[in-house]
Amino acid sequence: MPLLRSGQYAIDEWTSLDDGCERPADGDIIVSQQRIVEERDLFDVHRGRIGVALASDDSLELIVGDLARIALIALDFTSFVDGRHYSNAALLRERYHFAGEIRARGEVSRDQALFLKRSGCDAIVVADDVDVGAFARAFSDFSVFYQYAQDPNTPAYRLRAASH
Amino acid sequence: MYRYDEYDQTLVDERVVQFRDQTDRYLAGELSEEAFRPLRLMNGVYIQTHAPMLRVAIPYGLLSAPQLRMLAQIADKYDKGYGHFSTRQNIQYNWPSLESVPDILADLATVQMHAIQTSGNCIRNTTCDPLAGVAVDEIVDPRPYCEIIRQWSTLHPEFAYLPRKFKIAFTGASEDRAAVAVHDIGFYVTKNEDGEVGFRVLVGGGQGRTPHIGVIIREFLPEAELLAYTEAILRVYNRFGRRDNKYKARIKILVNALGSEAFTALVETEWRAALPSKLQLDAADIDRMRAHFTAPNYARAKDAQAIRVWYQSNKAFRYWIDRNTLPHRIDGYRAVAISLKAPGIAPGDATSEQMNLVADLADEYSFGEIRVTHDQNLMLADVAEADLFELWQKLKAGQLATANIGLLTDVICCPGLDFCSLANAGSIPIAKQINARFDDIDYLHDIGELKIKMSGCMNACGHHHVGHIGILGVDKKGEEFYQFTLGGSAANDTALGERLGRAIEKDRVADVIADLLDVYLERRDDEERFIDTYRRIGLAPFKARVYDEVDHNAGRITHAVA
Repeated sequence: MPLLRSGQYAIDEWTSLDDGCERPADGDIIVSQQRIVEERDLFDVHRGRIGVALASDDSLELIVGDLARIALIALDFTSFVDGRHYSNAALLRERYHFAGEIRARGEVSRDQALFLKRSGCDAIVVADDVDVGAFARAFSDFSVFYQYAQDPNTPAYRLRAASH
Repeated sequence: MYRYDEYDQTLVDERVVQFRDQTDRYLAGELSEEAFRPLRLMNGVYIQTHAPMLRVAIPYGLLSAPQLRMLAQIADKYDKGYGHFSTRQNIQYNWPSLESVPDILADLATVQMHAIQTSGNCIRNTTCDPLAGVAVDEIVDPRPYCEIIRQWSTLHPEFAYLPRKFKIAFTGASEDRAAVAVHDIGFYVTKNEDGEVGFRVLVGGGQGRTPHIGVIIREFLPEAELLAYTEAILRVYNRFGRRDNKYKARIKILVNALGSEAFTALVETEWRAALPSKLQLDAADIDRMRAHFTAPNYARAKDAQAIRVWYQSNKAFRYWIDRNTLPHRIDGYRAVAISLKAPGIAPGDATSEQMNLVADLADEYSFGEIRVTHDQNLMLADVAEADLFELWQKLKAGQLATANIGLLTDVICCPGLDFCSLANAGSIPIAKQINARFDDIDYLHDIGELKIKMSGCMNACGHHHVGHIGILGVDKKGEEFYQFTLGGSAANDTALGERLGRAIEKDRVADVIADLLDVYLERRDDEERFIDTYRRIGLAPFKARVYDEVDHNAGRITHAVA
């Protein structure tokens, strides 16, 4: 399934590993939070970058101590109306200053794209038949924002301050 | 009131384009029902029994005359010539077509209005005291803070998919006229001993299936922290609110499950961890917002001597002054409530003619502004006393002067079975039954203050839990029955009503109310209101009268059959 970074097709260097699957010798791998908690030595033994996939009900706190060694977080949406990952993304950026890639996967579409981006996601895994143009357009649905989020936009009330 | 600048206007215009695209894709089959549903709810579009219902936002109940005229125009152009004002200070249209909604939103945008987040699992319209800015007991005008929260909450990317709906209310006076204690977050705007403005913060109030009065989680929050603290509350809720059960997903459930101390600790930890935060407000941010809510240019009080003469000599006018006008902080002015509870009319409905009339009256008598109250009535907040007789006559001509504010027939009533797919029972027909039975205005005035609140189902949109008399429509074996509660209150003494007894058949609702009122009239002391008598003598005398009657009648019918 294609990966969009900043609304553009991107080469995906990452391999997702199901729990229990044999780990490849090297390469960039995404494993579940559960696996990381159980196989903590992965950080030391694996030759390649480590990414962690979170389910909506996974606790972010279980991996915050390891963030320096995690290069990517994948937020798995089993339901697009479960909004917990927006707070996960926001906390990763704002509280834990996570600088790696945060990608949204699963049940997300262009109608969530701008909310995801503003919450700190910089990549989305999309369906094979995605309309990439529609995603790109979705990111520019709005040019005015009313609140600070995890993106660099200045909210309207501060723009007003600047112009006075 | 708040006036849009180019930023606000751009945002609503862009929103119209976005929703039009989403609707087009849905109608073309490119978006499934399931995918479209949260998107349309975030634009206030419900699919209901007969037709879609569109809920338009009226931020903290404040409207300009041109805005009210546009609401009238929308009623005529896209609906059946009327609208319904809700208990959260919004307006609802019951008959638009889905295809026309983007056009309705485009029309609304031309007068700085929208339907953003009026439903769905997101932060809803922030409401406040309809007397904000004019109340005699005002401590701080809450409206600038309402507008700050409105903007912050609008299209907030982190909180677009909450466990459930989220409702915030503000009050800035000694008396709470905004039912703040039964909101997800209630803010009491106040001042500390140093005269600094801040908020007492309440969380976890709500009605519906499991009614609950909220808990104070912070006694004083400095005003600069308003956004940072609210964001902390929402983040805790978004992360930890239940998502497994729709009926256990409000923040009140989380507060109860954790206990208020543990919940407060989570919020305070999150808030402090974020400091210093971009979300902290500068004095300039607040001043700039406050500048939108200045007092109008109150003229020197005109001579109101003629009004006093009319008051003495004209009983109908006197009743209207007594019930429908309220004291104002400026000498020589009154706040005027416009009753949308006329006999034979569905409570809270206004025709487009009436809306246009009120807009004209607002221009002539009240600086061009109108408010929507939580009781589904309207208000002109700044009327010179000298104008009251003329205004009353013009309101009478539009059937808007029923002198029943706060009385028995000023019923809060949800749309009920006639309109709402969630309802178990009709509510509007009951309101009409009540109106028809109790049409003697002298009797109504003798009874005095009595807040009847009626809901057609357990979702409690009619706020029945906090009615002096609460009426809940229930379905008993396919028939409409009505469950009574007594002693609820949405004021400072917020309380949930106590169940009277078994549910009553539809035809007997007015009879039961008559019985309750008989007990009250027999037992009241001096100036006691119904609620005061109830609190003094308890449920038992009322219950005995109602159910003795019911059983007596049932007994008679049984004998007749035998």
